[in-house]
Amino acid sequence: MESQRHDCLVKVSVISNVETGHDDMIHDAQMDFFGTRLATCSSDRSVKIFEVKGSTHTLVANLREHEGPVWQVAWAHPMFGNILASCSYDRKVIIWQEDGHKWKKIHEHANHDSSVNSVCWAPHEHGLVLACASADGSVSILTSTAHTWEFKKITNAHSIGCNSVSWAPAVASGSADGSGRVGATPVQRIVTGGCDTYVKIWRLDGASGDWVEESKMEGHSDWVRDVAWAPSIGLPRSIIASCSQDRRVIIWVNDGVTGVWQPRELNTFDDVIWHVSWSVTGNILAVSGGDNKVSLWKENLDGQWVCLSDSAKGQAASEQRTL
Amino acid sequence: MSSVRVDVQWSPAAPDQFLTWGTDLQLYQVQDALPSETVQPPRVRLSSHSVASLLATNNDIQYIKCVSWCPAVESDPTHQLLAVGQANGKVAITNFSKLADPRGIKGKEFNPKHARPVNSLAWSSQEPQLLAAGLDKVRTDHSVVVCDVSRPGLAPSYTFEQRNSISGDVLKPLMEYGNAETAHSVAFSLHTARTLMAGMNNKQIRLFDLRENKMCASTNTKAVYGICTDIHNQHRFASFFENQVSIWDLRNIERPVLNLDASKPVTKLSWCPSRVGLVASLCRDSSTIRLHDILHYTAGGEDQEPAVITRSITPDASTFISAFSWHPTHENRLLTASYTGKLVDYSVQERITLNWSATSALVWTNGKKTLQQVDCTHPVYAHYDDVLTAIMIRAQKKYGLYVDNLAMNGEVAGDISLRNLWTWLDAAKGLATTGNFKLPGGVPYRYHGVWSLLTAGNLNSDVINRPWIGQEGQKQQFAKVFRSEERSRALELCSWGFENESLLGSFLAQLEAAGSHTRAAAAAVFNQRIKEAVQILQRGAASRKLPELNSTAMALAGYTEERKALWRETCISLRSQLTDPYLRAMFAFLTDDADSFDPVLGEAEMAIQDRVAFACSYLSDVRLMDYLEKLNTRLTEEGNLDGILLTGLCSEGIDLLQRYVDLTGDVQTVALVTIHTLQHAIAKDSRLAHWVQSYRNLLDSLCLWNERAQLDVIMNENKHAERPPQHIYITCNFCKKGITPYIQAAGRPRNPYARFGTGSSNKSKMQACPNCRKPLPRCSLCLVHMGTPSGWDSTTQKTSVQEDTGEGPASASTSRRKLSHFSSWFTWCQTCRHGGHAHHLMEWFKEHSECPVTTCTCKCMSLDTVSKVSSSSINVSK
Repeated sequence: MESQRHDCLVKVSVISNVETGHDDMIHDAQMDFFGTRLATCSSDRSVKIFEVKGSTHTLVANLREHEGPVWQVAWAHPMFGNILASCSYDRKVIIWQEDGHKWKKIHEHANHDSSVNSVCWAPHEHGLVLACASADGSVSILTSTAHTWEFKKITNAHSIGCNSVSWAPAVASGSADGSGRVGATPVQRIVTGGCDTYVKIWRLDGASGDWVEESKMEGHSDWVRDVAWAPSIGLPRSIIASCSQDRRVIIWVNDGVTGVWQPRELNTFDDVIWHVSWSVTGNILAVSGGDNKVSLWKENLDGQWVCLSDSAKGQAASEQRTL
Repeated sequence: MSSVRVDVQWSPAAPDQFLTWGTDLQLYQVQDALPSETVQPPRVRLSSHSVASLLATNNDIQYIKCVSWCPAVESDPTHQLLAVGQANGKVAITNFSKLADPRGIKGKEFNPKHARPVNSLAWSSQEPQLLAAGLDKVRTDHSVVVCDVSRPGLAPSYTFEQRNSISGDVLKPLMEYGNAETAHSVAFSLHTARTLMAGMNNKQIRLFDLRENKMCASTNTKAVYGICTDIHNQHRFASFFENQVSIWDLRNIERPVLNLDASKPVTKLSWCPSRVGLVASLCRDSSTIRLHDILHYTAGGEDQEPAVITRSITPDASTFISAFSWHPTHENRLLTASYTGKLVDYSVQERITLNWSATSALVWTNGKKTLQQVDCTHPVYAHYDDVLTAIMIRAQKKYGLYVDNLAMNGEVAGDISLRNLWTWLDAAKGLATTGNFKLPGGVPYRYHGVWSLLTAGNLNSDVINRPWIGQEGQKQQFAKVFRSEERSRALELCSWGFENESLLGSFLAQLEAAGSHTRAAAAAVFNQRIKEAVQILQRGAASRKLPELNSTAMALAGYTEERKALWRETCISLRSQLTDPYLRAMFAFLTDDADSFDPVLGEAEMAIQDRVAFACSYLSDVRLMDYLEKLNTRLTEEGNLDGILLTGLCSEGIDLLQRYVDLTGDVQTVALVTIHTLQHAIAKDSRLAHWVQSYRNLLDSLCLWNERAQLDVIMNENKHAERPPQHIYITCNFCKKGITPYIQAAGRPRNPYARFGTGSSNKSKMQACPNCRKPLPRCSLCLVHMGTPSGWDSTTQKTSVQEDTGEGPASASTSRRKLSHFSSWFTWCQTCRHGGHAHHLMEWFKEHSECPVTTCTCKCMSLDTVSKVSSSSINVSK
């Protein structure tokens, strides 16, 4: 029965399976920057780290500090060392670090009043900065400064609860001369999605040091489940994908000139959409839904999003190739 | 069929068996099946992967109203006991076995005093011999009845309604409640033993304590139907009424914890056994089941609206669902029955997490405990056409690392449009660096395109009548071509700069050598050389075994200016049937009457430079600009890299590259173009810097360190102004000051070694710290104090620097030499900190693996990662 479950993506059974050994529902699985480690978390309250070599996965750590289901994990950029963040129903965010083959807790952030649903590390240009979205409706931004962690909080970011947070890529105007040095500090931005059906964009105001609401995007009619800011290779255009309980995925495009976010509906699906995730270059969007389907989407020349697993696939692919 | 409502229930005894009832009881067995398999009656298909076959039928009992499996699991599933409530008020205990029940429970019956329907049956899970029944109202009897099925049957002295009794024993009620009332639904509490909940009289839910045989609590509500307890939370139960579902807490049944609204009257309610806080409801005349996730409802606190996530599932959209049943053990598995009797086996999918990794592996969860993964090495991945795969393969082939011959980059890219791009860049770089190619007005060439070149000034072209060559014996004919300095330059950019005969000849020969005979022929014809074109086609026919080219040559040879000639009409009518774009264009050109040339210019399969060059020769100023503008706009719109020929690498060209990245995500190509040709513009346009930065990050995450390093080397070579800052300094052990003062004083043009009298340059030895004059450490092998002048040799070799300056600052800076030869450099082990002169240590480690210092056992050489890197990957391509 299990093998029948991934019908949309591919009709073959040779995709590699990873047996995680979790005792309950897995909620997240993330590969690190180099694709050599896989972190998973589950309702069984544990976070597991696997060493990936080809198709073999070896368990290297089983981290048990959370007291509730662990919803999400996130790897920091490797320039900061091997650092992982996890967030849980127990209202805590834990930051883990590998120290000589041992993983240990280096920080615990317990300043939310309810389940923490999502964590996301900022682009490394901003330093070691973590955004946490909680069911208490607030978003906190943790910053590491010389062995201490400070946090700022956006209270009541989304009424009822905040489900997802994602960072904008660090795009500095007139900086990054190729030698890695950054002239002007890039603007820090995050996008959040919540139970109030809104997708909101927040910016760190350089002058006041506070996070301010920059845009409030209305489009969904039910809980926003996930938001994902696309990797910005097509500067100055910014793209955000959001998905919702209302069975829709919306692509928000900001051309970078007008500053207006234009929504475009990717598709209305048969069931709830749980997650959206961009490929590394930002040209393919993966979507997972309650109908147990993982589908991949690509924008064609006319700006239409086409499903790669549809029958129109061949056509769409050839359109891309003729460029 | 529609008159009989079919209900379903999974068996508690066997995970692959379920029961249906309408007119009779049927036990089915679920089996796996392939989607392709044809399923014939009596087997029925449940889903794409399962079928059900009928195991047993029990038609002893008529007028079934409700059925409930006994929770006490029997070892043999067919012996699993069932309570069946009937329309006449009888409750029968039965099973699907043909054998007699040794305990004598099977066949027992409860007979009410007055016949009326049984509305609900419930077994106690704590004491599985207890069975409760809720009956309709009758004036003189109780409506809630609790029996103990294991009690011995009553003696025949119990004479009530004996005529209704069949064979088995009669069940005597243990307790009776609700005289002259209606019981709509009954359920045992999971929290306290022997506590029964009953929804009564359309207005009350009552709790009965069987131990004390009394009612212990009651609440007024209309939600009296379908009471069901949550096995994950013993305090929680749910009930419904019309369009509303209520969730209750046993500890406080004053009012419901939560009310959920439905759009239509609810007909069934059931808690999911495999997931906490999930309750499913079914509405009348509906093909969807609604799942309410109430797990987080307390999270919002009292003042906020309850956070309940409702999700609709549609197992089969074609029919209305009459009933459903959660599988008792399988994760989120449901069985639904429709009014037409169709059964569907359905699994409710949990939230699937999904993530792309930086190395383009896609990971998602499959079911509860398994992850699935597909990455770029997988053949399926190729279907996604992810540009990252191409980027990775190209990077490994050293795409963009060929500096001297840019066209090679196009060769390794393996893509026709990229090959054209790099070929053009190679040519343009040649033009830009030699400096011989000057634009009109003496402007030096900086990667201009045809369009930017022609729009730079006003175009004012002369008309020349160019003679057709090689038509002996005929009247001399002329073709009208346009000429101006800009046009000549543009033609050169299209590699059509035929200032003299020999250039054209070699161009045609090149094309022929490349096997493009038709293109060569077309180029010849566009330059008024019919005879040459005919010969080219003949050669093509011979060398490429294409005899049809001969007939084309024949047709071409018959070219005539005569407007009404048969040749012309035939060519026009048959032209469209030619498959080769160049042949089509050639005949279109020859048969063109009004000098419009639209068919030639519209030949999109022709290489862009041929089309543009043709336009530059044959179109008047106004039409040329019009044509180029349209072409430019269209190519930019499409993000077509061919458009670089028009835009060049000016700001419009960057826009085109931007569009290309937007559409393809191929940041690699644009970053490489930037590095090779647009270094000077990086500071002006942040996009360029961003591309380069993105590509370097990509190489990092793909672990392509060597490629990344080589790319940085190229970048720094192409960068005229700055060098990267020094990363490593050597300091004196005593004064902690750097022993390379020149580097630290960079920018100050003075000779730091002046006081040591280093006039004799390379031969100087500096064995003491230049600051405190204490000696530097000794070499562990020769025991001589180490120390040599280090840093860039810019002061001692002034003469050579001055000679180089003629070639520009870039070459001057690279020609500067280090003060010391490598063999006399400092080197040391990072682990044991012992070291010495580089060439001494290299000699030593050819024969030894341990440190040369006597008592040190450090295996210095084997610790050095450089020695492990395969030699092939260190080779930097030049």
